[in-house]
Amino acid sequence: MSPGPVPKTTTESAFAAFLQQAEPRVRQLLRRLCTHPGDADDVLQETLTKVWRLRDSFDADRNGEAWLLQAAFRCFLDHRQRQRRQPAPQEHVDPAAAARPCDLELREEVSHRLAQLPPLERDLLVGFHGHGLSLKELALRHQLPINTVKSHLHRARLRLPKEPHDED
Amino acid sequence: MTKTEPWDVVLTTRLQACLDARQDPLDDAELCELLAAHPEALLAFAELRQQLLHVPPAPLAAPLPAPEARRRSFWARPWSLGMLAASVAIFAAWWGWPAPPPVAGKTRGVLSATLETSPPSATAAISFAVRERWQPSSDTILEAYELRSQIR
Repeated sequence: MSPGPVPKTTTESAFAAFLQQAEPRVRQLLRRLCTHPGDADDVLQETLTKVWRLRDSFDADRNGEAWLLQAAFRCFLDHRQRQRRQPAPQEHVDPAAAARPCDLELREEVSHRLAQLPPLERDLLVGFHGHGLSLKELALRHQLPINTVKSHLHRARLRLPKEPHDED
Repeated sequence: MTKTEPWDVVLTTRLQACLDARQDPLDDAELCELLAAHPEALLAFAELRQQLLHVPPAPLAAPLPAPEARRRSFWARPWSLGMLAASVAIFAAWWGWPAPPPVAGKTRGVLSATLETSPPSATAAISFAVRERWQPSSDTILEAYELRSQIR
């Protein structure tokens, strides 16, 4: 459900109510963008703090949710840049521990979506993204020109995220 | 890709190109700007990126045979050899191979000549046709002459 535009007579309490209503969508976006859920929570806090400071300059005629998502995306990009500038922590990562339950759940969901694709598109998508095969290798496997492989792959990618799920 | 294309087409094209090149779309500054300018596309983009990162390495379908193998299998089929033999036979019959035994009697020179009268005209008096046998052999030279009319 979209919170819609913020009323022109925005008061602090109305703006707070708007943020409360729109927060699940922003959280959903950040959970998908960030590799770690902890990062998503950090960026969400950063976003809410930022938009709270900007509440007076908020244009009530604009789509409130789009404005908030845009702010969250920019905060995410800044956060990503900062993380890249920092040296990576030298800690041992256990592969078994690295596969988090949410990852496994997501893999299962992706498998379910893949099962609904036509066989050729599914095979190309799994070959390219799951096995890391190149376009050339896929073209040889399926006896197809590379451009045809690309077309099928592009179509498969667009068909994959048909039903966005809610995580709130 | 031109600037007149709708933003969603540009976004999709750029996104697909990034993914084809195994580049994280979030590393493409122009793509990020495009997404920031159209936040309505953000959720779908994030969903797609996340799902592609979690595509499982499921078993793939068996690869099709290589083109060389398929060409060999064509020659291995009995009907293809039959077709080839029939084609050779038809070609040989048309070409006259093996060469027929030489015809007894006159094998060279004029076999027949006919005189065909034609109505007298200002320039031509007669016309005629000449038929000759031509034996294909290594030392045969075919020379053809044509005389359509004889001047009066």
